[in-house]
Amino acid sequence: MNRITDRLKKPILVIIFLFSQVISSAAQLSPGQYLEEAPLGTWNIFGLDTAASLAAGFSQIVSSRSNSIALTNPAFLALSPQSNLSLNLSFNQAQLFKYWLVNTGVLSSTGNLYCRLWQINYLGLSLRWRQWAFTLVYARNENYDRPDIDYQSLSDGVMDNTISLRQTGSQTLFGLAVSRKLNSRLSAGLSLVKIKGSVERKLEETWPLDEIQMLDDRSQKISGFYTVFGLFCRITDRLSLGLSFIPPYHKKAKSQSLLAYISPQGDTGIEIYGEEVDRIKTPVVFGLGSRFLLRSNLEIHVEAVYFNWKRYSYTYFAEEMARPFRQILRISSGLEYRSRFRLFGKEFISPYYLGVLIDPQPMTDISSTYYYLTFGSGLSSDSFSLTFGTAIGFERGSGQKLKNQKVSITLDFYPDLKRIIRGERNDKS
Amino acid sequence: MISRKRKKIFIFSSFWTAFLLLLFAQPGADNFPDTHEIISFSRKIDLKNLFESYPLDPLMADGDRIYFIVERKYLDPIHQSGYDFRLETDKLSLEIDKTPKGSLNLQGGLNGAYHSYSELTSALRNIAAGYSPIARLYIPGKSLENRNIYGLKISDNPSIRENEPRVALLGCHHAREWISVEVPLLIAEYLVKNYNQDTRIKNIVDSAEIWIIPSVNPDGLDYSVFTYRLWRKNRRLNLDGTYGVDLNRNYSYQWGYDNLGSSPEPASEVFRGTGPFSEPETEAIRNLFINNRFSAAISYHSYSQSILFPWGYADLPAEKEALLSDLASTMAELIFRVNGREYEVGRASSSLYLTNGDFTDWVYGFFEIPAFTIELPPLDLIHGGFFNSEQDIQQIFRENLPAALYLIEWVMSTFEGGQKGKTPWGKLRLAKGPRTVVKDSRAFSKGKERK
Repeated sequence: MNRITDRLKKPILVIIFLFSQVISSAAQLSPGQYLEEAPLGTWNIFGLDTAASLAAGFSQIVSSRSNSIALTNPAFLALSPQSNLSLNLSFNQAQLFKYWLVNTGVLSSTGNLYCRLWQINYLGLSLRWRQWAFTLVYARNENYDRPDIDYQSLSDGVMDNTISLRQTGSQTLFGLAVSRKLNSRLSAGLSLVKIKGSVERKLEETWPLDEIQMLDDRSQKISGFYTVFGLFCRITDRLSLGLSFIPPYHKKAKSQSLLAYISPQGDTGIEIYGEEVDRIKTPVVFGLGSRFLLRSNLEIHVEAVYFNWKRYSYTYFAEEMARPFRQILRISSGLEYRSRFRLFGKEFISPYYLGVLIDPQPMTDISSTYYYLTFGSGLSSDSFSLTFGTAIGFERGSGQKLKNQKVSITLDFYPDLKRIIRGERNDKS
Repeated sequence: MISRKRKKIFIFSSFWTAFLLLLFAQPGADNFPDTHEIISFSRKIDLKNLFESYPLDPLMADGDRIYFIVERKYLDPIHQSGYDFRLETDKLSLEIDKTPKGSLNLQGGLNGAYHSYSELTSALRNIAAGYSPIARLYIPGKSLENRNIYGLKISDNPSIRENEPRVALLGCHHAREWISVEVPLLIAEYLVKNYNQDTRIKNIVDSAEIWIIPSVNPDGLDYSVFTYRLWRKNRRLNLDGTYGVDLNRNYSYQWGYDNLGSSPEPASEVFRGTGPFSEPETEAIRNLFINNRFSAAISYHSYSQSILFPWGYADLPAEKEALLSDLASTMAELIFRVNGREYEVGRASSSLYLTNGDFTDWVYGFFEIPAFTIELPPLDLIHGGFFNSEQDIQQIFRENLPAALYLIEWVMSTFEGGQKGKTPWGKLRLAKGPRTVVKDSRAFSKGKERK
């Protein structure tokens, strides 16, 4: 997987000190979206988007084909089939303009840069027992990669300066969710989620003529724990509501650094080591979703997720970083249409999804919002489901017109899906 | 019964009020300015009578007014005696850092023993809080990204402008020159810590005002610490999308004299800005110097181990070059005696390279006072360039301390009372040579240069 990722993240050699395009006058001094700790694509990460969720406008509170909903509304799982094994493969391509020392004064690009990533980012197992559902999840939900940079400066045909930048990192979640059907209309759930992550940042600059090398290596090991509370209520046969609540929590980061200057000619080796424990205060997230059954095979979801980024704080190597963020309300809506057909004597369902998402970013120095269009489809039988979902996001506000594309392919196994299909048949008759 | 209850409430609330007052009261017992005010009178009043009646401490004369320091308790009696005065305490003070004192010492992290902006803030506040009778923290201005540019004033009465010689020690015009933050900061710490133990230091602090401005470029410093170690300029987003103005090419004296000593190209490391004092950081230094008549200044930089004096804009001798050279040579000798490290002495333009619009030329050119650029170690790139090991900080400070003290004492010995027009070497006369006289920085537009 790493090989594929490495091949896709081709080194970029487009570094000059002059811009070839007019820079937006917005955000005079803003570092923009991609601050040190910013996840790739968006700040507003809410659980993990498997294919159906992604395709239906990032729906994660009132509808799911897989048990990844344990990370956003575990209550929904009490209504799931008896058991479900879910696996997700994702592709994410995000555009960046300003990050680290790229387009912030040192290295300049002629346009937006890309970061691409393929990964198996979800594995979940859900088991039903009477009114209870128990779910185990593994999810890689945040990524901190940045496009690699390899800069070389030639003077009279001789290389006199090189700069190499590498940043990789991700956050992995290990969750245990318990949910219970309280009565025929109401279920509740709780997820306990352990966070583990890391960020590696390496800058190497050399001056080959003088045999001088400068290194700036930084690494962070992130850990933490949070809980997710969920409620799901079937108000009527057509209308369902879901509630999700993630209280604020702290992540801890063990940060280490080495800044070095090496010059064999002068017998110079200067090293500055740093080691600190940092804290990332992640604010409360509150989600509300509704699902309305327009017809037996057509439903619409509307969800709103509130992120109180105003209360976010971040220390980096023991220094409080300025993060003037605002509160965010992310709004999404999706349609799901199911068609049935028979193939090789078996009955299949083919869902079709369409959705939209308005995803404002929390920075206050620039006003930046991603607008997503999502769609997808799949194939389900009584024992499995294969779903494909994609989201195309267009950013407005930063002046860079950043784009973000996501693709998810999810494979679910439902040993008990027959019951649902039978239920739907009865509904139709 | 009711009255006993009221009494209890009264006693309890009195006790509580007293407790709160004690808790929040300023530790003013040894804090001179809390009990004194600065007042001014018209020159026309009968001063003799006034002096005989009240204990007034003369501060200065400016225009048609005379300024005094007086204990606050005499204000009413003076007023009742029919003397008309103006309260000037606030007018004569720069903005004071009012942030709660005693914040944590944050040193460590990516930059090791060096100071980032917040670490520096913490260190300066700790000095000002810990040595309030002799140190006060001012904010002459703010950076482009709204960070404070601090000026720590060390003197026996730091809250008032006394008739004493003033010396300014500045650091970090250039972000990557981390050692230039440490040397003036450590000098400040040395002065306050040794005030009660060393008679020489006590005499200096009592007789002079030492202004420490450890970071002229706080935005650049933080970018250098957190993003890219070798960043030099400030963080101005230029019109062509490049970043930064070289603050040490943005002063008005001979600003843009040629394109060798500075550059009109925004991408250049020595971009001089769109006009003299186009940057808030240099504007803050200008305000500080205009509001306080300084007698000498040192601007710390790195690297190359040299003590440079004007002129930097052209290879021309300054009018007082002999004296400047003598002072620099003595400082270099004092430095050498500490660690055996040699600092070259010379005219900036010929010893290092041409620099126009720099701090030292401006200070010498406009204020006619001795001004030096001290380029701290190492000697060259192969020995570290802009890097110094953490262990070197103390050594470099130690070797530079005698030189700084020497310059302060020299200024004290030549001080003639700080009247208008008085400079350490006598009557004010504008230095010779071509010059750009700037009344308003906005009068200059991009590319308007003097050749």
